[in-house]
Amino acid sequence: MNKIVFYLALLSLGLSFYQVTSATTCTLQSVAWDRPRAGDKDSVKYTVTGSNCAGFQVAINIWEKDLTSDDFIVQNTLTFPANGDSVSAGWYVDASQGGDLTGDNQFFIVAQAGTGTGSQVKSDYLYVAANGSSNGGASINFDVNPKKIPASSTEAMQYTLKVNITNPSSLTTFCGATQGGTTGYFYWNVFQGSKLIRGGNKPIVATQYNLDFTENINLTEGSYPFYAELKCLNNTNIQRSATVNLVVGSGSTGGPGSPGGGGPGAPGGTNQDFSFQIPNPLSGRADTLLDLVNVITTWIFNISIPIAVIFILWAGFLMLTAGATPANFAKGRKILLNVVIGLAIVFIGRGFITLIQSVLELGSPQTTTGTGTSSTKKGPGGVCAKETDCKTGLWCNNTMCQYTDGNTISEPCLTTINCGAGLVCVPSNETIDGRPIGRCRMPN
Amino acid sequence: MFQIFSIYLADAGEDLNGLPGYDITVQSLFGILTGLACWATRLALIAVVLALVWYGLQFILSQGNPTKFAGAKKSFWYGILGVVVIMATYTIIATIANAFGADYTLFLPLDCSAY
Repeated sequence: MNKIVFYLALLSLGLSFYQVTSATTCTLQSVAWDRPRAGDKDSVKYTVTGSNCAGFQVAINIWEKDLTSDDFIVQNTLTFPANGDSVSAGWYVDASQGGDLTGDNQFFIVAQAGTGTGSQVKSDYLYVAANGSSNGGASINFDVNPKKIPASSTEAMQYTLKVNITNPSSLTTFCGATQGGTTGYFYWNVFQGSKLIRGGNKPIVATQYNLDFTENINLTEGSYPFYAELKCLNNTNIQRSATVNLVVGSGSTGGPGSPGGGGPGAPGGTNQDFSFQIPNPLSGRADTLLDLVNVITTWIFNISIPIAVIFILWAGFLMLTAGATPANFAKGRKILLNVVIGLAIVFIGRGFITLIQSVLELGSPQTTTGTGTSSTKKGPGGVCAKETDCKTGLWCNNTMCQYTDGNTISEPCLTTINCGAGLVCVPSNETIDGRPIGRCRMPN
Repeated sequence: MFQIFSIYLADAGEDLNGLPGYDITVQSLFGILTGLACWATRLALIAVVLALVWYGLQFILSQGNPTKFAGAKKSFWYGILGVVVIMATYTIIATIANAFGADYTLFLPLDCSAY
């Protein structure tokens, strides 16, 4: 028993140490585009997530990758909300800023937290077709399953390849019709690294192509990238999918993506803070020390009920058979009393903590740990399904809580429908209930 | 080092597949205790019947002997209290749970159907 207490203490010490160290600095975890590919003049969104970053500022630099030196596009500064670990902003894609004449522009974000010199993260690429090319809005939906297979064994891989062409005639013009005909063709190729897995060609007639296939592969241990691409018959690139990684064997799965060093603009020669994380081996939602305590408490609670039943029955049995030895009756009564006391303590449980807390707070009501029954009604801008989801005086329109005669200037909106007469909805960088909202404004 | 460790932990579940034996989880402990409680309930009910018959027999065997009769009466009342406690097991727990605000419908009565 002492050993168990010792190990629990050690565990809690370790966990609390981990918490304390990370609580002092904002650690960026990721920055990501909301889509892997965008068209020219699209509005895209990006989200920065971090831990312990509430209130921190994060510097955003958007770059475009080139073969020789990357182009700097734009800078922005975001502030994490006081109670959240992620912040989003929008960006208006302008392919001409990328400067690439053929192929895809690859935009990426470098996010840097606050004033710290470390804690820099880099996003994946956002692919945008080069300015001037009109590939008819061709897009590829490519996936490989399973994502993990054993090494040196023949496995049937499912390749999912769906091609969407918004405007086939535009793509035909882009690729050029073939040999005097009027129909254009495109190649599709699926690559594993630089090795061609399967390819083919299709006439550009439809808007959707389903090119799924299955293929046996046999690979040695390692990680293999897969991607699909579309080309014109004259070898002009139309589109390339995001890369899908296949892990072979029980080897490294890559671990948690270490924040990429070496991004453009990383300050050199200064002290850098690094934070490392031990991945949580528990899958049971126990992320913090209190969660762990909660899990253990729940189990002790569950176990205590049958134990109480057994002991009450034993007390009853002792009293039942006390006839010959009256001492047993007193014993049974004592057991019963102790069971009652024990159960009372079990049921009060965490109540003791709140009891002491409320005594120390002079009985003032708790604001932070409310059960949430009273404050679920949404204000203007909140997500709703029906009128009763919203506060009094508001109704649900366009899945958003709003005033019955439309929201007035600088109040939230999703579209102009939420705004009052004569006002328009202007997009903003803000979010309410996790979705981006705009603000009602006077039209220019 | 930590990464290797975590990978082993993460993979442990998959690697156990195919090995002989029976997956035991913490739910099993709860099951064992519940099973014991269920059997204790049944045994206690049998004991109630046996004890009451035995006390009835003692009244008969006292044959008007005042000392024996007093003893039998005392034993009988102890026995009745014991029966009340045994029968009221769940009532006792539910009363305490209710008094302290716990939702006892979640765990009472014990589900004995599987044991």
